[in-house]
Amino acid sequence: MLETLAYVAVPALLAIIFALAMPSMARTIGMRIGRFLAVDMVSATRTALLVATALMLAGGAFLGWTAYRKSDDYNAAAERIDEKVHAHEQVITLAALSDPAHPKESEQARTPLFPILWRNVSSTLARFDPHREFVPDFGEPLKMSWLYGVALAIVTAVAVMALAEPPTPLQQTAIDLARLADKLEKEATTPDDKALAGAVRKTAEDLANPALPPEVKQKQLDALKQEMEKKEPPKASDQNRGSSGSSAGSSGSGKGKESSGASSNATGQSKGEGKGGGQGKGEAQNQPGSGSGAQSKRGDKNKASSVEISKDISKAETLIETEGNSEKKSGNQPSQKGEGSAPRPGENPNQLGGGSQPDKNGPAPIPMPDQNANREIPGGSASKGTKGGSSGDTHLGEFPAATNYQRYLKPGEKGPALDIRDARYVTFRIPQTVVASGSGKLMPDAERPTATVPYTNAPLKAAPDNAPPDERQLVPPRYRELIH
Amino acid sequence: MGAAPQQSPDERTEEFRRVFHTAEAEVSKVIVGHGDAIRKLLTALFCGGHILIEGVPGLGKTLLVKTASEVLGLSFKRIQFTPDLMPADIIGTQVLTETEGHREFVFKPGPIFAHMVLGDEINRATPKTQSAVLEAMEERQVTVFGQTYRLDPPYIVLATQNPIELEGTYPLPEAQMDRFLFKVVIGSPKPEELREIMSRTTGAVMHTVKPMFDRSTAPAKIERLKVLVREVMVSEAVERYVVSIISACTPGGAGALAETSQYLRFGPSPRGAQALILSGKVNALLDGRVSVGYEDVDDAIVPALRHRLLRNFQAEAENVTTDQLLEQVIKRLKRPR
Repeated sequence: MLETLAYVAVPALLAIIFALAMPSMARTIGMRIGRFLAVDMVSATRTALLVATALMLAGGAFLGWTAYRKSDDYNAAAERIDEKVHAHEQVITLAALSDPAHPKESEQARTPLFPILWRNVSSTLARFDPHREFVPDFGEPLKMSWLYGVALAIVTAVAVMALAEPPTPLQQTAIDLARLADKLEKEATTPDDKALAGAVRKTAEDLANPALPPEVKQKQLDALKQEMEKKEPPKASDQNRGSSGSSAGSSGSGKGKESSGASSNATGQSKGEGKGGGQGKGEAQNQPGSGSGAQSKRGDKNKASSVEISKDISKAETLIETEGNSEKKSGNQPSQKGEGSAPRPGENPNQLGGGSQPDKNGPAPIPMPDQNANREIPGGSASKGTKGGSSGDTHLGEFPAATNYQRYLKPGEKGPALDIRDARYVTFRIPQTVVASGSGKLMPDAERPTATVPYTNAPLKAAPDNAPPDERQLVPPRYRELIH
Repeated sequence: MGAAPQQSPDERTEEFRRVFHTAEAEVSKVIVGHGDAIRKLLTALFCGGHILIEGVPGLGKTLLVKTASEVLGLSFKRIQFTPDLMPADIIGTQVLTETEGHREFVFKPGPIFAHMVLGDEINRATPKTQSAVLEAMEERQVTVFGQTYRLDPPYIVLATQNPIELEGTYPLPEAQMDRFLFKVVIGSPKPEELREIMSRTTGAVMHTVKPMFDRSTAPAKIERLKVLVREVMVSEAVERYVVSIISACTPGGAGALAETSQYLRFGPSPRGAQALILSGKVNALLDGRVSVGYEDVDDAIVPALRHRLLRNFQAEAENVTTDQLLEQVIKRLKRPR
């Protein structure tokens, strides 16, 4: 019985381990491979694995019980003993001729030679030691069990990869952050830098975790921002920029080199700016030179990394905010895919409908600002999150599929006021047939060309600054009057 | 004819082994090689069956049977089958005889009235003559002019067949083939055996055999040993094994192998199963056991079934023999465990 159970031991154990580790496995796969398993898929996979475990254990128990029943059977036991002692079926014959279940028939089948059979079997069984002959042999069952375990692991891996989906914009940002953390760690020279890299990675992992609420993610981001601010000397670099051009500070060694070397305004004491090894005071020497010292380079790299991290943090904040809003609007139900529980578009054109939810998977036919679509956006990698969408029209990585973009009230139509204060980007279609006259009445505008595609206020060019999204000019001024 | 009351089971089994092995050894004094044929002959004798021996001329088939009868102290008759042989030539006939002034028909028994009958080249006789042997083989009796005459036990027919020179022969019908317990194929002797044959048969010293039994008591003793063979026990597991063998050889059956379904027209009859069990019993006794094992049955599969399988046209075209098919059966059959 134990031997039979050993056949399912490894696969059952592996299935339990997979089931328990499925959330972290899904997160790791997402961060490493870039494909995430949705929360409901994780729980479905866990359930499937646990059910498989239960089935395997039940099957093993059934087979074990069958084996036990067989060993408990009089004739079957005789067969096994006969096989063990190589009695040439004498034990089987004796068992058949002395079956306690059918004593009469057994006696009738005996011949005058029966005593010889009895004696032969007795002498054979005298040398038979059940404890020695029936030692449990787990070798073969465990070997097969490992094979089954490997098969289960392969099936699980294939299933997970098949169920995994491309990352959401927030998860994509988390992946970017994790890569930056790796980069930062690789270039780190001080424990502080390593700690920062660790914090960035931790934040990235939390951002990628769909089970965490947006508030927690926001807190994580705030904490990371504070840590970043601690690392960054306040505005020292700006001063240097003004005085010595692109002078970059050197680190620990205390010797700074001007990269341009041609500055005559250098005071001789310049504070080097840099992340990682680039911190500390450096003494700028007003000598002409190439300015390509290793420390200086590292400082530049660190600065770039920190800028990228800042960008990603900003992006993540925006996305978290969007996520939080969408959750609130959809009845506080988490929507991992940006679909499902959002309200359906109704009669009221000003009410946010289901179509206003970002649909990262669906094609985003609008906006189509043609040549602007390919413009570079801040952050660089924002377009990775879109799939057949605006291809980098916004720095958020995707553009809302504005299926309910007709937000404005038609002439004579009344409805609730628009509540788009939190909107950063707006997709709209300019009314074609009306125009405001001098008297304040809406009149048809026959001269105006008919708009065929909706407009958007998405930035047309990558913003060079690192200002948080709130500080940016998100809506072009000429359209602000249309939004109240 | 039961066992002698004074003999214990151990003594009986011991006697069987002694008789068998002694007979084997004695026959081997004259017959060089053919150990398997000798064993099968003796096995068939103790099982109460008949043997079909196939081999080219000059291999010692007749000598084998004659020697065995001498060793066992049994009467021996030889019939040379020819196309003009009539049934009466075998069975015997009524002869008008004048005795003390009156005439009467007296039955003159044919050569079939012997303990061991050798039908040499049985396939040369007409089917009518061949069928005359059928009743004798199966019923151990012959009927002449309405009068039935019993053949004295033990009774064994050993027929020989020549696999060459088949022109003008009448192959034995399936019904008659099925009556033989074994079909033994005698092959050419090996070089060392051939040298031994030359040495024994062309020298000054003639090898003779020593009869084991007196002619008057031999039949009774052999019949007692035949009873002992029947007393050997068979378990249900072994019976199931034999059934699975027969099923595997029956084309289109539930347990038929793919090869048998492909190459056979008909499988073995229940006589095949009886042959396996009986020969298994003899093998068990020779091994010192009183119950049949799987190995005892395996040993008899080929000689007991090879002549009971009827090949189809495809098998004949592809030259697939019944021996090859039976080897496949032995290889692929699983013992019930």
